[in-house]
Amino acid sequence: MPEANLTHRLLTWFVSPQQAEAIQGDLREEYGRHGWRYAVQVTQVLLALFVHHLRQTPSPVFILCIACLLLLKILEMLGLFVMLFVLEFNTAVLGVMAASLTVAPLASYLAAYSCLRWLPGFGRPQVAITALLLLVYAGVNVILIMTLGRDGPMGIAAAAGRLMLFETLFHIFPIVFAGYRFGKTVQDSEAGLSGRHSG
Amino acid sequence: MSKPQNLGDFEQIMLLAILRLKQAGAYGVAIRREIAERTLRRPTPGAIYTTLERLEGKGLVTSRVGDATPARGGRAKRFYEVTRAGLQALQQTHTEYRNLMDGVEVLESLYA
Repeated sequence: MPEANLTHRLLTWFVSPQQAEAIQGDLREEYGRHGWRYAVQVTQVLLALFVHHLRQTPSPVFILCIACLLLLKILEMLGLFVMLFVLEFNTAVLGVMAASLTVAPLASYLAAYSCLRWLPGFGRPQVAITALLLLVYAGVNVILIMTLGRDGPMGIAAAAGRLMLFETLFHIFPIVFAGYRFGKTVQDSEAGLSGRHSG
Repeated sequence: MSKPQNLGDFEQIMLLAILRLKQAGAYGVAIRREIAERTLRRPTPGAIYTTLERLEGKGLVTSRVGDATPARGGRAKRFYEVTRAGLQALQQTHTEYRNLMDGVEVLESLYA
């Protein structure tokens, strides 16, 4: 067996070493050793295997996301209520708010998008874009809360207001994409290009 | 005898491609080319390997490691074969199709 490289190690997270070797050999046979096409296809295979393994065990992931969402949304609401109507500005409450405002939406999006992945037409490019948007969203969350949150409850309220705008955008993206792709899949089926073209 | 498993659209295509390549050897690259040549699909390598994983997990295909070749950087091919369960599943699916098509004149004329 040739020396194990980074690609081989990554592939063996998802498949057996023999299978990883075969996949690398196949890709090299088709795309050559060097070049962007080889790199793109390796990445595509890794993403596909990752998503495949997620889909093999969707229920625990989904339930965990929903549980996180419920728990943190409750904490968020309680924290907001207590902070605005009961307490003066409090660092501990700020911490809870920052955590819940960051983690809860991420959990909810992961849950929602893991469902969307099952929709015909919501393919891997959309999942990749969504993952990127989620990272941006988490970053914006942390920055807003840590900067505006220093001004006390009204700062938190201002941060939450801005975050709602971002949240709206993130909700619109998958719905529009899923709708567009689903419509296109139906059109393709009617045109005789039956089903979803895997890839 | 256990009930044949239900097959997805792409799973059927993969099984048929593997069967067609029985003599030449059904491995990743050959399966992808066969599907691309005979259908309107252009499956990505990722779609091929994940489906092969799934089919092997269901016991519908088996695999064996072949010889390493220089063109593949000294890496071995992995050849796939359809199992008896895979054949039964394919047979069952096509029987269902035929039963559904039976008496539908528009479809019958296509295959006349």
